[in-house]
Amino acid sequence: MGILKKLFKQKQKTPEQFNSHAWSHLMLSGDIRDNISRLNEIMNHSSDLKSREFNLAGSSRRAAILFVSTLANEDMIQEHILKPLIMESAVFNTRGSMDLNDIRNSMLSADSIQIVESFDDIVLGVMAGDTILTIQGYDKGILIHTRGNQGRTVGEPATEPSVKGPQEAFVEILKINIGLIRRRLLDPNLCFEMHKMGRRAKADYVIAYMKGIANKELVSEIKNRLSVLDVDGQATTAQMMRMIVDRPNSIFPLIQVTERPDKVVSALSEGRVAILMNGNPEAVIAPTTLPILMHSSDDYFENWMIASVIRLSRMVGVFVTALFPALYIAVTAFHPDMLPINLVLSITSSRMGVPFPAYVEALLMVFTLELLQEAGIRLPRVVGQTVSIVGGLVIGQAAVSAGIVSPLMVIITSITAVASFTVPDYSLGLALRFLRVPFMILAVTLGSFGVAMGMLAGLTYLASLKSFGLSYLEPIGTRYPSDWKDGMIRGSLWSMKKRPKELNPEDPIRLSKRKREKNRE
Amino acid sequence: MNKSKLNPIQMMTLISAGILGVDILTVQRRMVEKAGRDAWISLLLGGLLTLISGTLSYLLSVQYPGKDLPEILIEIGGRFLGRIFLAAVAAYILLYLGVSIRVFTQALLIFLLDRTPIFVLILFISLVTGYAVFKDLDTIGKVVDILFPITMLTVFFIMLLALPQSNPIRLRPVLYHNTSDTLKAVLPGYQRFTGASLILYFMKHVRRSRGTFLWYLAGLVIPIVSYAALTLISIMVFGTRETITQAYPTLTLIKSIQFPSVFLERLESLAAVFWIGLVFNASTLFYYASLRNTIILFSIPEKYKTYIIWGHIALLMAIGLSKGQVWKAMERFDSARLLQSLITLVLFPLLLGFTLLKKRRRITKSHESTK
Repeated sequence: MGILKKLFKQKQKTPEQFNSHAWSHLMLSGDIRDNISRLNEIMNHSSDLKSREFNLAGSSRRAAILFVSTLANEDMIQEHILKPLIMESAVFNTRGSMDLNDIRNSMLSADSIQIVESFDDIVLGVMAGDTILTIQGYDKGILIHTRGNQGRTVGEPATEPSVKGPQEAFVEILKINIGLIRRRLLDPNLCFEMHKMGRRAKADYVIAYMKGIANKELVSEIKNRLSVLDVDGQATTAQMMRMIVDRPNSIFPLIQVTERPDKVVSALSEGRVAILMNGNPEAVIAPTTLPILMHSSDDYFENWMIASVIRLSRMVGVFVTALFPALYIAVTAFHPDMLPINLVLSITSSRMGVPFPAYVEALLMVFTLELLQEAGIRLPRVVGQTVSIVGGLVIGQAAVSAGIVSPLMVIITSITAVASFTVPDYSLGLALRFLRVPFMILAVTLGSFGVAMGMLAGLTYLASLKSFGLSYLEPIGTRYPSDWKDGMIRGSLWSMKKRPKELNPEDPIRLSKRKREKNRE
Repeated sequence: MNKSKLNPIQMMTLISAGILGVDILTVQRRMVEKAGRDAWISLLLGGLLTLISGTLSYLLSVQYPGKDLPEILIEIGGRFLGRIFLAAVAAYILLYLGVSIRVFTQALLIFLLDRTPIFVLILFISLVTGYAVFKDLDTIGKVVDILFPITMLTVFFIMLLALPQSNPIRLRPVLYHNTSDTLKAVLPGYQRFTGASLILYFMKHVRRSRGTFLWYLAGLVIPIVSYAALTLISIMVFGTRETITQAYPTLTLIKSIQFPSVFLERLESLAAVFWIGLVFNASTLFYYASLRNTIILFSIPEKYKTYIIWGHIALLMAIGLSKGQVWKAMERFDSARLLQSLITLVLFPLLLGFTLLKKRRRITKSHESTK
């Protein structure tokens, strides 16, 4: 392997990278005209970069504000910047002189204000929707928070619906998303660390964790991995995280992407870390494991026995999704003697007149199913439903009538499709759908032996996966038996006194005896 | 975040899985051939011997913390003698691995894939086990943790289902005119628990030592009880004569189970599929041991580990395909086991004695020098 790598390894050329440093070292000057023209140049004379010059409090001192009209809240600029500065600036009039602190403390009523002097800070602020105030004769400016939170309102989760519990989903605005989490977790130890990502398009992202619960090593590991990431443009949270996972090429999701704030809150309380990015209506939770991806929010709103049975049925769904067509092929092509004679006769009679062998039939149906599922996602909801009906019922029925596929194959494909929808995590569902075909090929070539060997290889692969140092199959196995109660099954809520040991939390106790007695009272 | 090391509890699953390999299919026949209706007693006595030799192996590993068997052998025997010992161990482990894969593929040919060339099956099993070894011992431990309970459940389920067909009279008279054969069969019984000495390869990687020995003993007791129970049930169902005539009595035992055939007609084929996991577990563990032996024996740097892993496939194919007859393969299996008995019952106790003596001398010397 090493020799091959050396042979084919080519000397990598370092591409000429975009250099933001050309303007990052520039500082504000005392001339407002100069400042306006510099910012215009940096922003390539963008049509939405607006500037407004005026006299401060009726005096002869000129000042100017600059903002991006498509991002900033113009009402806020009018009310909290222009109106006080032009008309209500009593401080300037009484004292005859002023400095930036006077303006910041007495003249501006905006909630967040920062004194800046480099164009690096100014450009980042203005592009985020802030307004820069520059005053003639001052080589420092005031960056005023005027970001307009225009966007859709908080709605229901589209891909992670639940029967019970909260029905809110993240939106594209980071501030609102942070609020959705904060509202549910009223703990001062909830930390949101703001960072910026991207060489060209700088995007704000937040690393959220519970101080005193999340393992310090885990938090610093995530921070380190993110800090070395040098992305050119704006990446989504999921893209960004997929680049820093232990095995970026794995088809299995090594991070949990969710649009539900309640899931993030639950993860943070367990000691995991969440990452949210501005412009992304989802949060990424790390680390994650296969059993966690099989959990649904509804599980925690039901009795533990019912929730456990539902979880186990989802596991059956996983096996059916990946293996059912392969097992059908293996049994019909290699081991028909495994089945009772009546069942064999029934299968044989249903396949009478079908011109293809079972595996061709299965591949055909699986391919059609994939097309239908893809079409259902791309099309608008109303049309999507029509496609599902036409595809599922009309094409299926017509294919059986035409003798292209057997009715049994239609049943198997339908069961497989239904089973695939039981997987709560969309990315995991896709991975399982992907696995269907290799298993079918193994079934065609080596029957159930091939399927079994495929399963063993798959299990070995899963066991070798790690998500930020945490084994992907935890808590399955003997390493953390105390975590079994919230793994494949769900124990009673009273039994979950400790946080998952697998996450190595700083504070392992979730529910103490004293609290329990208090709660019962 | 969490350092990858084996847990003491994993000693139970790893050792049990290492012992319960392909022998689960043939143990009754081999034992009944030797000890007749009292084969189960021989197995229990063999098990007792395994517990003793296993304890000695454990004690030997404890004397050399941070080292596995090949490293211990080199340390005790030096470069020359140590390598001779290691060569014997390596030869046995490789032979055992190759032959057990061959024996299992033969069963697959009979019960599952009668028209598939045997080399394809051997190649596939070798590839998948090699892939597991290519990962690390931590991965192997996790896979075994998951597969072991599932496969054991199938074994116990089958024994339970076979009970209604059993006739306890077939066991009688116990030890009547058969004491000498029963005692003679203790050694072959002991040889069924080959995987017991795998502890010498795993102890290096165990996180904590506390409780490890008890888990290890549990890992020995599970296969001892399972094999003895399986043999007992097979004798009660088939009787001694019939048990001897069957190539794979366990699979035939499944055949005898009267199971309402709603979905499945041939339960033995399904069991053969299930027990691929059982053989996979044992093969992976022996494959790992063989890899360690080869690396230390030839002083190969760790970076070439990958080549050794995949190179093993050629050796396993050669052993598995050397002679086409399954019976021949099984005979070779037994000769390989004789080597195992010599290693575990003679070599390891000698090495332990030598180590303890050396340690004692060192302590006495240090005492004298302080005086």
